[in-house]
Amino acid sequence: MPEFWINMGPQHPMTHGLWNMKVKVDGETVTDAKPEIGYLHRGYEKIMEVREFQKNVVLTDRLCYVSSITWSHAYCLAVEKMMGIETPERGQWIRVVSLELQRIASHLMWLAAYGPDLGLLTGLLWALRERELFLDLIQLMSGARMNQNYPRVGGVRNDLPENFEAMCRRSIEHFLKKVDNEYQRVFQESKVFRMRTEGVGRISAADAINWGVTGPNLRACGVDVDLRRLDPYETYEQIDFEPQVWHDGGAGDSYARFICRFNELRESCQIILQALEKMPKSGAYRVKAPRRAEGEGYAKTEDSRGEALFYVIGDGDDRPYRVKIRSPVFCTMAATPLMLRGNKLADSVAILGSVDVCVGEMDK
Amino acid sequence: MKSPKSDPKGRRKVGTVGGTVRPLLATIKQALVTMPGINRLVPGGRKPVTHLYPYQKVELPLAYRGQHSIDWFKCIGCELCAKVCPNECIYFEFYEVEPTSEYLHPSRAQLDEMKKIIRRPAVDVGHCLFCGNCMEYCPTDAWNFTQEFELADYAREDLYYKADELRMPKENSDKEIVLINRIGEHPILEVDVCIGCRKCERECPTRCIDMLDGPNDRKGKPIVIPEFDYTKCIGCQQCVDVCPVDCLHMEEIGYKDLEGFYHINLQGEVKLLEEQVEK
Ligand code: SF4
Ligand code: SF4
Repeated sequence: MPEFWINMGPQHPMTHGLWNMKVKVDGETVTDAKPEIGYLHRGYEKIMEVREFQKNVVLTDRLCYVSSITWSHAYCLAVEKMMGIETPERGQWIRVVSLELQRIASHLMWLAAYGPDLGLLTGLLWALRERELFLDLIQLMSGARMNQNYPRVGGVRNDLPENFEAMCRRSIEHFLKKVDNEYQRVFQESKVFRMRTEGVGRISAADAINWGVTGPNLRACGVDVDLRRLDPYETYEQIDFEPQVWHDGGAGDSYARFICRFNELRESCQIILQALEKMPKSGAYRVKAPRRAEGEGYAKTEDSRGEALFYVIGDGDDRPYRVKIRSPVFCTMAATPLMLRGNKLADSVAILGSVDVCVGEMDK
Repeated sequence: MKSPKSDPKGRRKVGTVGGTVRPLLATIKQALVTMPGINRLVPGGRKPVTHLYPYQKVELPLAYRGQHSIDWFKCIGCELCAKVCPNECIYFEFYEVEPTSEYLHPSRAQLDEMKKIIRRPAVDVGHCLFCGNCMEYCPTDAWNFTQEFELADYAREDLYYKADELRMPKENSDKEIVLINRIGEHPILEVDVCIGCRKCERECPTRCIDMLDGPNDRKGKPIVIPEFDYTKCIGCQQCVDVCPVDCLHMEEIGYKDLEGFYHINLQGEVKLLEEQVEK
């Protein structure tokens, strides 16, 4: 039988968003693949050039609606570096808390999407149920559930509410119980789930590095990179945490990627608890940022999906002269043909779901 | 502090029987816990977490950004909100009022042409992102958000809310006057270019401009130039916008006395999902 191409997408339950995965099959086996993106291109870098610095924060929120705070934070950090200002200490701690809350919400959204990809609808319902807790916390903190517009150039929008710490502790306690008793059972300890994910979509560490894969996907290959540890921003260097790296054999498959993300849920909870303990209880959370600036700013952060980068140039006006966004998913997407080759067509869903695709930030 | 459960369990073997039964039990247990009738019999039984939405509304925190609500006593019509709005969906409407109206401010009202006119913001909610920038930069704290979130409508035109519709009820206003420069800039004059037209004086919502004799002469008479009282300036750029010869521009104040700069600290109780279902 001759080989032929199949379009997975742009409308396919597996493509969370609009993109197309062309796979070449020989019978059941995938021999080649070609991701096709651009359906959601909005010209972010260009739009940002015509808007003022503080107005761009709402735009960067919408790069990835699942993980807005991490993106607008990366942008604010780059602009702060360009302007040469620094967030007060309490502001930095609040940012750490909000970033980790957002990371948990984002990973839960991924879990909710990955479950149905494998036919596990229970996973969708449970993960979305617990995500609600974290969206409530984010709403309490910033006033909106999604697209929060919370980080600001020079700090955060508002201070933490009085009852936030108690609320946060209680829901994290509740959540950790759920992770241990329910999620772990239904995902990690399920034979069906293990059979679908183990050994498929393997990528070697060398390949992953060469193709620019970052974040949990690279940590699953056994490479210990975590920008929160290697190049700490905000107050991450004062926090004691362990990047979730896969150390056992069989690195780089879908299951390893799942485990790295799954354990990051717990790790992020620990980071939040530590941050709540260590943060100063009062003080300034924002400094006044100038409206006009000249220079170059560069910030890279550990986004929920990998390494996010913002490069901003200002020419003395109140809006950026040029903005460059590096999206981690864009690079990971380039490496997916390597993961797919040699696997069965039915497994491609299990592979592509595990890399956590977000089309909004991929297409920009 | 080391997290107790965080080391990847790696390739710990999962047996066929255990790996089938355990997830099944976890799922069945969750199903029973919320099943009406049975939830009273099993340990940890509780009500479903969902709300019967149109009849039962969720409690929203005070910081929630819903419908806009503008305190007409405090608003001075400076148009700053329209300038910081990322979607440019704030429009200004002019209303004629009695000379004794409480909404008149001793700013523009003191000048003849402006005596009876107030301007107040209207919002095209269909374009609004509910980002909260307008509230954040409002120099008088006039802008507020309510917890009202049911803003869907039948026609696109209905989403344009007139200024009158967004007016905050009288009794909710504390009528306290604040003026804080949250933009952090103020206007600077290029004296040589100024022609003394007095447009900026008329436009300034806080009346921080006085027209004094300047160094330049026209036909033997000195022409007036604006003198700014920067303690009252809120950085709204109205003067810059109306200047016919472009002799004004905005400049950074620097980092001095901006205690009131950050101010949005609305707090409120919110019930988390977990709390709502535990009883
Ligand atoms: S910024 Fe505030 S005071 Fe100025 S026009 Fe808008 S609501 Fe009124
Ligand atoms: S909330 Fe944002 S988009 Fe809406 S009117 Fe205010 S500034 Fe404009």
